[in-house]
Amino acid sequence: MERGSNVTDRDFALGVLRLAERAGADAAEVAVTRTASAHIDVQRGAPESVSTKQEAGYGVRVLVDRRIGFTASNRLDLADAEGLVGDAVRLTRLHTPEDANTLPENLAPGGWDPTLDAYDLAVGETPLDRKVARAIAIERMMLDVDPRMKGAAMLVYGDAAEEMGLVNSHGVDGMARSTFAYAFLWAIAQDAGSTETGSDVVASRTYDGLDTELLAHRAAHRALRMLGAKPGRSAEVPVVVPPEVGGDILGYIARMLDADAVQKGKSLFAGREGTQVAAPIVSLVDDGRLPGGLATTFADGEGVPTGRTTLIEGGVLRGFLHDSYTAKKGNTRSTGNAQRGSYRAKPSIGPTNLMLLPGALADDELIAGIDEGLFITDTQALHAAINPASGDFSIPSKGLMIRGGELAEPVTSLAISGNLFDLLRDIDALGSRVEWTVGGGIIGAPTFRARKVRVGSAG
Amino acid sequence: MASSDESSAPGGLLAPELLDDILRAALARGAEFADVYAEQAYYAGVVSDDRKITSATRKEGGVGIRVVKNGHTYYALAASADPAELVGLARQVADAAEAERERDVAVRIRPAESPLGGQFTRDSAQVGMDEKLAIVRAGEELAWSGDDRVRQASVRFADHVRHVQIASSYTRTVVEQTLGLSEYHAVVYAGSAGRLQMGTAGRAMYGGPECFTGDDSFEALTKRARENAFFQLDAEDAPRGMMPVVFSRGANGVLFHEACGHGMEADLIERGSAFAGQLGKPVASDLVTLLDDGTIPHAPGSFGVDDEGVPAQKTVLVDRGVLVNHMHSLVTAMRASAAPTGNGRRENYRYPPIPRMRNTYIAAGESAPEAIIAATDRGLYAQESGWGGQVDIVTGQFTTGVQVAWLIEHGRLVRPVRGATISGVGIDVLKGIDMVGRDLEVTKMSGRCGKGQAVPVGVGMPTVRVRSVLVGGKGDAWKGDRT
Repeated sequence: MERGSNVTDRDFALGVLRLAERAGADAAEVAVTRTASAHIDVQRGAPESVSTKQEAGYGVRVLVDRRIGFTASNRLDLADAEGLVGDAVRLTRLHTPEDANTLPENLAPGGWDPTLDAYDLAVGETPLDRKVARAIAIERMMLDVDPRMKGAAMLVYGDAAEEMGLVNSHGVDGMARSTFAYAFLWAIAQDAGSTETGSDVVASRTYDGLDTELLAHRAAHRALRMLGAKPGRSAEVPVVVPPEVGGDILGYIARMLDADAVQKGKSLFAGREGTQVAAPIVSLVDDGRLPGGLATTFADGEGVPTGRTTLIEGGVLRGFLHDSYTAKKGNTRSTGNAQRGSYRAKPSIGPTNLMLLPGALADDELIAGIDEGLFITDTQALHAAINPASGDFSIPSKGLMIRGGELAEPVTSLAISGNLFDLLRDIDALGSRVEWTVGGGIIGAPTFRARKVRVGSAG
Repeated sequence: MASSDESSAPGGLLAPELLDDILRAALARGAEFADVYAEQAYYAGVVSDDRKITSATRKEGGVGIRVVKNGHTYYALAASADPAELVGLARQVADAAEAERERDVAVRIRPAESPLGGQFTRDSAQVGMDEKLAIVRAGEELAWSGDDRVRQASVRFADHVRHVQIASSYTRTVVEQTLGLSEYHAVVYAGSAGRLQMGTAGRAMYGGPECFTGDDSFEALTKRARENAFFQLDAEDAPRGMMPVVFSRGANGVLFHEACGHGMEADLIERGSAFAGQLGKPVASDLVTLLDDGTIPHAPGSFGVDDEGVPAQKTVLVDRGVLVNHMHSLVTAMRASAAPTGNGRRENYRYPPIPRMRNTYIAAGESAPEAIIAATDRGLYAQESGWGGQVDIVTGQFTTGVQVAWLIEHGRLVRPVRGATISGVGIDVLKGIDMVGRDLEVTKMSGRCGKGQAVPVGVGMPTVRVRSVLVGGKGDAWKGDRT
């Protein structure tokens, strides 16, 4: 990351803002993002692929006669921007006008609190060859767990350091910095004719905080416990869902709690505020200010300060995730959930640190009461297996049978089926230990138990 | 070809002399080969959602520099056309690769023609915004028209034009190519009595709106999205269990994309795919010939040259049941001492190329499609594919979805069912194919295949029956033949 670049970027952003206003926009917003990232893919003890990227770009939203338009470019050049923004204003006049189209006021007149930024210089400054060595070491640690560990189908280390400057015509003027390091391991175990895989992801805001040893051990353990798996039997049984599986499923529930989907009738949560939508032990919150959270920031992608939003409390639907547009449309306040994936993308609603609040039981206590059930260890293709409208799901899965209150043999080639709304109501016990996953968003969950899910089987 | 004496050629691409300098710097510390991928692209889309029309545009360009040393890839990119910056970046990539064994290579590139010339090029600019708006307005109107079960509709038309330039010390050429992809996608939500269902349909193809004809017309796609939503409202839940499945032609080919296509990509072969070590061996029923073809006009997985400058080709992967080829990039071909197959693809200049499918399909067989259904006593007919899929390449276990399906009883489609996911092990499914129809269709699918990078692909198949595969549905356990 270049030193002092943010001053230049802010000047550039203000310059583009003026160009948009001069081109006829009633108001505009410019986000300039500068990212330095690394991606290292390791195979058999060597770097298969090493990529480094230094990128910068900007996205502009223009508000013209109650219409809103978006354009983006990675050419930080004012002369070029003039043409782009002029075109955007002209195009936006062709849009459908809507009263709810808006850009937020400046809700942080004191500036953006930098103490919420998690920025670790080591992420950007650690030499590439040390990152490569660190990635290679993960494979070694995984192989050392057990002689039945055969290798990695995929092992990736990645990191990114990002600075985002945001200005709009209503006085929003902020800058946020963040760093992120992650590693993904997909480990292969083999024994007596059985080949199984186990995967894990770890992520951290700091370079040293990335627990690669935990990654190696968990991925290995998850592969080893599945060795010898055979097709299970079709049944209707209680299931126990650990965080690495439950977190991804909760991500789909979060999408249905997006106020935009709700207002447009794309979510069956529409019109059910204040009613019981889940078991009384279920509380779901989104917290953009969670101390140490992987998604913690001062402000969202529109510059609205983040906060804590209760979505479901004691099983009762309490609220939705809002940006400025849905807030104006719904006559409420933005919850600070406008997300900007990169300079390329216009802001859209998404969770920050989303959490299913924990219960009081240890994980083995969740299992202890089950005579016959399924502990789900792995699922596949949730995007193809969950219907985002009806909530119906039929998810290819693997797991460990639960017999007499204990984990028993591994089973594979299963499909668990049901409906997300029923699943929320069927949750009857929650573990006490929350773990964070990054697969389908930043989602924290304890292990949970559902009293009944249908299992289809190839057996 | 660029003939400008400036460092930046007219399309924002790079002059040949600069490309030479970059490659020289990239190779200065020894390497098998290096390449430069320069791109200037413009993306534009119009969406109707909730009867509100909006648009978005994006202009993006940059240069990716790759050094391959010891078969390992080192990659960096810049968004700049500044010669000093690009040559400096090439030195940095060479430095990063320095840890590898030294070798001495020097090259000089020459211009080459993209073998399919202008086939994938559209003149000048993209479709004007007015035309895009008209397409989306008409789609919106049709999506909402005359049925009070429609709860919401989202219709999108987007296109992009990517000018790319690939200079390679491997091919010793510089090739330019223009790729213009158009995409139409409709999503309709339908509801009644507290229920909500979603139907989708879409196509992507190289070429403009004039290519969207017949079953792929905007009107036909919009109607199909509606019908798919209505169908699911009225259908019962699919059963769960192992059963015979007849797949209708076309987009259900995503089954083979997941079940075996990925496992035949050479980098995944190296990583221990279920198809590793199977070359020359039977991996499918002898009724199955599987192809991956980059030469089908307008199809989303087609191109003149791949993203490493290798001409597209039609590659037979499985010939009457026997695995005969893998899909290679230059790097995997080098390591396997095999010929490149033109499967080295990248999403854009931001990524190094890796082996990717193009348009992957099962070749036509001999059965009449209606005869395949008629020959099935009990089972499932998968009519419209769902929302993509996924595969664990090591175990070969895959998943795909179906939005519209029917129960087959005594050779007839008797009851509509919804919410079926299809899962299994790739080789088991290939070996379980016992009837192949003569009605091949390659579908110009919208959406992208993701493998760390998103690229457009086509899929296809004729009507095919698989003897037994796991259907996951929310309904009752399948009793099938046992009743």
